[in-house]
Amino acid sequence: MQKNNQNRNKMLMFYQKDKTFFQLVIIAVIVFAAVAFMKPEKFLTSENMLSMLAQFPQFGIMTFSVMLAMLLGGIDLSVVAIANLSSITAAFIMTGSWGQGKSGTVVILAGVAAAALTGAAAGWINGVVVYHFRVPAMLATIGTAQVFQGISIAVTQGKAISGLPGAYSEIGRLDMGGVLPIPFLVFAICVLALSFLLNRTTFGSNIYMLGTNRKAAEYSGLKVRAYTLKVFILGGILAAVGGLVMMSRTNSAKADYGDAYTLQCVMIAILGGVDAEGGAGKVRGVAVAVLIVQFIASAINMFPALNTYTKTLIWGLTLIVVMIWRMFSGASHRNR
Amino acid sequence: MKIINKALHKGEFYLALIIIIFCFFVQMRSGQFLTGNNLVDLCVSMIVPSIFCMGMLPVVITGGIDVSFTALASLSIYVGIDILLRTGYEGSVLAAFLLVAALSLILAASNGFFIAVLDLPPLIVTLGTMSVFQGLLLGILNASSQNVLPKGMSDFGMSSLFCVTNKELDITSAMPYSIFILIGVTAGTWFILKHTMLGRGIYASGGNKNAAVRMGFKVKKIKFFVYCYMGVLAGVAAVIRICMARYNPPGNMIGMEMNVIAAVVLGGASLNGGKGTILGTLLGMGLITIMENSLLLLGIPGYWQTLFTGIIIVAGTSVTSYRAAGTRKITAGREGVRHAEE
Repeated sequence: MQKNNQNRNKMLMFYQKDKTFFQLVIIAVIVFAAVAFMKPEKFLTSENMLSMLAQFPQFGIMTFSVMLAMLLGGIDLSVVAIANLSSITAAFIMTGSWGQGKSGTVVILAGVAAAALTGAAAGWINGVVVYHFRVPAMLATIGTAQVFQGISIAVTQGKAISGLPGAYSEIGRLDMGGVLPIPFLVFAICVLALSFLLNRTTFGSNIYMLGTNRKAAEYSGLKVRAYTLKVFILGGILAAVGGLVMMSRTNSAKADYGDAYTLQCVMIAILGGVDAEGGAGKVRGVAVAVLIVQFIASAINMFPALNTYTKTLIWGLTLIVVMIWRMFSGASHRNR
Repeated sequence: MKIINKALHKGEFYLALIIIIFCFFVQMRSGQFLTGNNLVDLCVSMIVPSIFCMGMLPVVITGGIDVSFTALASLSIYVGIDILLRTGYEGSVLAAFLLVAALSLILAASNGFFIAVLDLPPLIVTLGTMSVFQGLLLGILNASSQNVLPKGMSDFGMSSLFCVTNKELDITSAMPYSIFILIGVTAGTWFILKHTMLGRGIYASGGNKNAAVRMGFKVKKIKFFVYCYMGVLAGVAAVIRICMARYNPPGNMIGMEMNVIAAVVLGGASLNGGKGTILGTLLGMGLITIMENSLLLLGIPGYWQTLFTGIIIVAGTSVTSYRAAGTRKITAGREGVRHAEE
């Protein structure tokens, strides 16, 4: 009897420690069950499971980029533009005359490296505009998004770049042992690396401190400038990784791919428990939120009568409902 | 001397200076800037975004933001035209204005409710309502292009105040009557902001919310009002735009919000609230419009347009925000000294 009680207390403490996460897991299970109940013959197939595992990594990884900016109390509306610019850079390297006669692996690695560098540079520009020029993150990233997309349009003349090396597009289609698509592995690595960085290192806890109270962080000797720049650079690299995954799946790169992802990423981050005012939000919460959104998206795709804009409507409604729910459940920053 | 000194300390002065220098540059390069038809074209392309700006300015002064207004206006104009076409209304354009403004007001009230009453963050709320409006328009209503407008609207679109012909290139530009609506809206917004208690409240609630509440301003009502005002003006601007285009491609306005917000910030309004002027906002919109329209005159290909507008916006907002941050620091420093002396 005594032991039973203790166990229950332990569980309760565990639950209290990360309420948002457990609520999200419960929602994910409910959504999964509801969709499976509606369309079992389509949803509960191994093909559908595999294709879902390959679909969410691209916007899931971009969501982490948005999340990082939101942890500092800002927002990043330029992720999709960075992702496209990076993948266009990679596509130029992979299809250009430079790679002729070189081995496929070298060309692909060079392309990936160039994309990561582009992402880092774009993130750095965001950081400079936000920190040095004091432009509010929202306005700064709307502007830089225009600049990055502008560069993409100008260099591609608005056309898609295709003809990537066959080995690269294989990445988007290959499964590890028929179970795990490579995009999913990339996503999993991002989740593990990012949660280690944010939860187990000084760098991570300082980001949370900076987001919670900037003044206090400044007075306690934190190098705000370096942290802001690093967070945006990291966000830029994550956006580039998202872009690379997207490019492997579409087998091409274009200036306006994934337009709808901007809003979707913000929505997922909020759903995942990230506070729009900064300083709160866990990687695991966001990861579960990505899953929930993928379940809903797959469900919508099963009804051919609904067009893509219905999805937009549902994301918008979800965003508002989630915010009201967070407000009443008291998880919001300002209510604490 | 005093006047010059005062002007030198205002952001508007520098903005006007940049516009004049840029116009001079375009005139030197192309020789086509200071032609009658180009100037009329500039005025025409300023009408709609400037009305949007007049709605956005009070929102920004209260420390808020609205990115949903273009989607909102697209939805209400589509529904409005649809109602007029179905009822076979043949009367004047006034009915269209009133109907669309009323529809916009209803939609904008939802923004106001979430932001003012529930106190949710404005950017995220309006990002959400933006996609709800867009989803309703293009998803649920499955809107397709409306190629025939009600008679009143197409008449209004075709009528013009005067026409200017460029003999060299044989292009004629017409000045529409809607320029008067812009003038009226600007005057109205100026009056509200400068000469009413409501206007004082808008500035006060953006400057320091707690102080405004203590002073007896009904901050919630004020915030609710500014989002509704934004919505109604967006609806009015949408009617003008569709009348001028003479057909309605649904959702075509979505994306314009970016230049509008940028213009307001370029004009010296702070996204943190409490600051912003009508003159500055108009100059900001003027700069963006002139730059966009002149790229063609300068012979820059269309592919580069997004990049150039982006650079102008980032550079412009960087300069204004940097200057604002600088003055904030100075006053904060003074306050600190005063504090220490006490």
